Amino acid sequence: MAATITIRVDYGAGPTTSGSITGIDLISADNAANSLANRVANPITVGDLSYEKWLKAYVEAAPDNKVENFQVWGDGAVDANTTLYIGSTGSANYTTPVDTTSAVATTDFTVCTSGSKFSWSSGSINGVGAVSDYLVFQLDTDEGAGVGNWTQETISYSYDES
Amino acid sequence: MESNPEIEYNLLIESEQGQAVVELGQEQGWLDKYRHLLDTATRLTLLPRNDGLPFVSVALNGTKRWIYFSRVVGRMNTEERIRLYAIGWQDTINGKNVKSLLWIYSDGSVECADEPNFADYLNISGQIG
Repeated sequence: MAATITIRVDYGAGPTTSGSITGIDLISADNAANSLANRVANPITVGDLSYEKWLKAYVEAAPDNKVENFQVWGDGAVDANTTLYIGSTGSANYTTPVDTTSAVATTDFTVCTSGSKFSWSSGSINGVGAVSDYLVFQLDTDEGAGVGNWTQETISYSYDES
Repeated sequence: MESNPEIEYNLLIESEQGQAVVELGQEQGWLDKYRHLLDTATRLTLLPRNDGLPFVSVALNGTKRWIYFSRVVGRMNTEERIRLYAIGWQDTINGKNVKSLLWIYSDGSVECADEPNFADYLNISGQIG
């Protein structure tokens, strides 16, 4: 069968690793939950940053040879008065997520479009349990950011398998 | 994200040393297993496992080197994923690496480009208060 790759979130000091995720919340808490209730319970104060979100790809079922070339990109826009930052770092470089300025998520995601994709992970992975480099997100809000739901951001990602 | 889209092709390797059909997704380590064929390959062909899909064949004449891989793109919250197949060649011409790549989509459509064009996936949500 083809490789099975899941996306997981690491959070907390351990870190604790989530199971396969279906989305992430950029909020004022460090967790792997993804729900309206979670977002309502942990809003970002206008003018503040969200906690970082540390994602990684995880090999559930091995490929024939390898998976590599993880990339992400978006549509080039997010809500006004907010900035979505992205960055990557090696799989051995985990640090407890912070809600201060991220040292990793420093690239404005709106420049990461289909014509200029963000390369997420260097090298290749192949065995069951192997993980990619970390992909880190953080949401910054200006004083003029609108209260309520931040418009859900759709992000494309891909990897190559051989 | 759970299981990925299954692979819909086998790979026929034709070379000066013989030929072999690789059951993609089912032969771990085929790059090493068929290295002796791949190093002298004269043609690579994607053979569909199901009716309705075309075969796609790339001739490797002269000093052309083969390219094959598949690419998975997925929507995290809907489990929606697609698999594309990239097959082509690369060569060093006048000191410069040149390549030609065909992208095969799941419906059999073919695009010749350095990168394929397709819809965006993966959703991220936030709450500002």
